[in-house]
Amino acid sequence: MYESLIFFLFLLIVVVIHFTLAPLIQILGVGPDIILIYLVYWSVRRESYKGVIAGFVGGIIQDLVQATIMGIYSLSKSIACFFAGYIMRNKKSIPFILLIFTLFITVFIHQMIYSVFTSLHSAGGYLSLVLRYLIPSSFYTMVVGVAVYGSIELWKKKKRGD
Amino acid sequence: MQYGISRFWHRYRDYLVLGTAVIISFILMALNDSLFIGYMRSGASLIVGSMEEAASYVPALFEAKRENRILKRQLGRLLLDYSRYEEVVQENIRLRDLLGLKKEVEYDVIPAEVIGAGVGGLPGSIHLNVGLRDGCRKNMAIVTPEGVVGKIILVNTTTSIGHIMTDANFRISGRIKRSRVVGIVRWLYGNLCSMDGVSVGADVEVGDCIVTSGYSQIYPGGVEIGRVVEVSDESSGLFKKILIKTAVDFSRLEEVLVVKKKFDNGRQ
Repeated sequence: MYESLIFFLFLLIVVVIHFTLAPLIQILGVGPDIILIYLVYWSVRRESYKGVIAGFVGGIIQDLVQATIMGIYSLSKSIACFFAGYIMRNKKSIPFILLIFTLFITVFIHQMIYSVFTSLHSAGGYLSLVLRYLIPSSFYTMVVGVAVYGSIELWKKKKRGD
Repeated sequence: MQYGISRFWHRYRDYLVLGTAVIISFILMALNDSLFIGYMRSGASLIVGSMEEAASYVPALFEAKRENRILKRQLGRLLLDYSRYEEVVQENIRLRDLLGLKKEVEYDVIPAEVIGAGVGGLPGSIHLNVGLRDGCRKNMAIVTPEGVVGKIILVNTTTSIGHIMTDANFRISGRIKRSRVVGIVRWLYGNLCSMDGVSVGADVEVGDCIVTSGYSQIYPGGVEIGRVVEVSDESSGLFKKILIKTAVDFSRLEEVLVVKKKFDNGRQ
């Protein structure tokens, strides 16, 4: 219960950061998905089904606030977070490289599912979306993710006194 | 029996929860336009919008000084233009009276700040710091001095959500200012749109200005949408393929104007 409450409170903060500060660091209209970075970090340390629930809740909030077609983000984020937990199953410790690799895979899965549903309504088609948004935004999310995860890991190390 | 269910749950819970989430997501997609989802969106935007409004003061502080300088310069220029504009308006009223034409629709504007935007996927919506208390209503047009931005799709007391041109579902009726040809403008990618439904024989040139057609009950006529950057014939041979660069840079939206009809004599 306590864990869920903490998750939800942090999620709300991350959603606000995503919608207020992330637009300021957009490059050519492409920005990082900060909500996904948080959800993946949360999911890799838990069982897959908990990741799915986290991804679903985060996705629903994004769907509601972003006013896109309802259900697109909840679907893509649930599946992405499922894989985040699945890749890390039965792992006692999480090496940083594996964490980054997981982020890359999940971001790519998320953007692929999102693009499939969005391209149904887009004049440009799927390929155009992949080239102009899927690859650049996946890469950008990855870069921001590496910076965020790296900072958290460093802070943790410092706190442990390593 | 209970042990069996418990074992089944422990073994397949990841897939069961995933399956449930996928099914619910598809149901939500089907219910996208329902009233229930509308209420949910309104509630969520009220909560997150209030938090965004508070958080937006942080980046706004850094920008305020620079903006103030730019705005002072713009204000000086606009005051000069306004005195000329007033004369033109008076002249226009006199001429319309002479010709016996109906009065044009008059508009008022509500200045608004963009306090949030959808990023990560396609930027299809923006959050504004104006709501019902400021006179903002659903289906009001959003513009900037440069051109059309979009329209309001959801309003609550203090904030609202705007559906902007860079969304795959957005359509707007446009007119080529020079030749008066009308077509439907829709977003392609980045700051590029296409204008559909313009026949092969229509008079369109690169550099032509596209403005709102005025056919819509939402957008005032004559507001710039963008400029033609490429014209070719479609493979079907029936229509032209027109590529437009939007007048507004959607990656740098900070302040917008929500357009409010003052009165509408011509369209009662």
